[in-house]
Amino acid sequence: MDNQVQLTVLSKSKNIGLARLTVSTFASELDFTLNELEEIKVAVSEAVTNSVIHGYPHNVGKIDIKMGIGDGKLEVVVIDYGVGIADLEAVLQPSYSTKEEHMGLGFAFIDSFMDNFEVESEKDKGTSVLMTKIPERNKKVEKQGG
Amino acid sequence: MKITSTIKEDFLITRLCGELDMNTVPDFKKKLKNLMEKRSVKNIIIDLNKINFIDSTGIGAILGRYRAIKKKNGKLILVGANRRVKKIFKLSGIYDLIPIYDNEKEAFFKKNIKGGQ
Repeated sequence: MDNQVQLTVLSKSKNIGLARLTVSTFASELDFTLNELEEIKVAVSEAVTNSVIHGYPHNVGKIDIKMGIGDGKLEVVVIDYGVGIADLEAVLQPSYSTKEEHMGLGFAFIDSFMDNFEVESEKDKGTSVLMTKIPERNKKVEKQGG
Repeated sequence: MKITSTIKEDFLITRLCGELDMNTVPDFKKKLKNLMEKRSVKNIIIDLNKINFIDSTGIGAILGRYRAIKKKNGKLILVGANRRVKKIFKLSGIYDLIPIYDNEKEAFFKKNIKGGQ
């Protein structure tokens, strides 16, 4: 990794904005457009919101947001140490939600706005969401280079 | 989140300013409900011109208001979403449910057209 930062927040909704701002500021080191940075903000917001709502439904816990840059790629991992996901397959289906007025589109947005994402979860141990993204203009340069 | 409002014809026009996410949604829902009760209107236009961030929680809140208003035979219309917000709306499928226009003028012109987009 060329650069790494870790942010640890309590699972409070007021910290979700801080998390996305921190990641987008960190990501701006790469050649992302403003639109791409906004997409990264949405993806981080979704992941951290999921940890707040689903990771710690009855208490306040810790959420680690690890971000790294290496080989021109942004990598973000959002980790909570909460209840874990009971049915990971179901949760990854768009519109699946266990909460009223929640659209269940968090992972769908992450999938749409990031290049790749992986979710690992274990009951009562927590969940980690790994997301990666490469600036689009660098992908074009790579293609042209052959 | 800051919300300002005016009445025009039989619509409450609410202008949102700031971010709509899990942190601000409770305040948004409470203020909107209070405004509609205070002004005794059942139709609402939500102006998103000054919304600089929205995620699926924010969209869920708007959808929740839409359903509540529709149950009372009211209308909810969205206006002024910027390109980024529109992209998120398109991904969420909300375009298929709630009329979205570029501005209030267009909304008032088209509001009586069924499913007008």
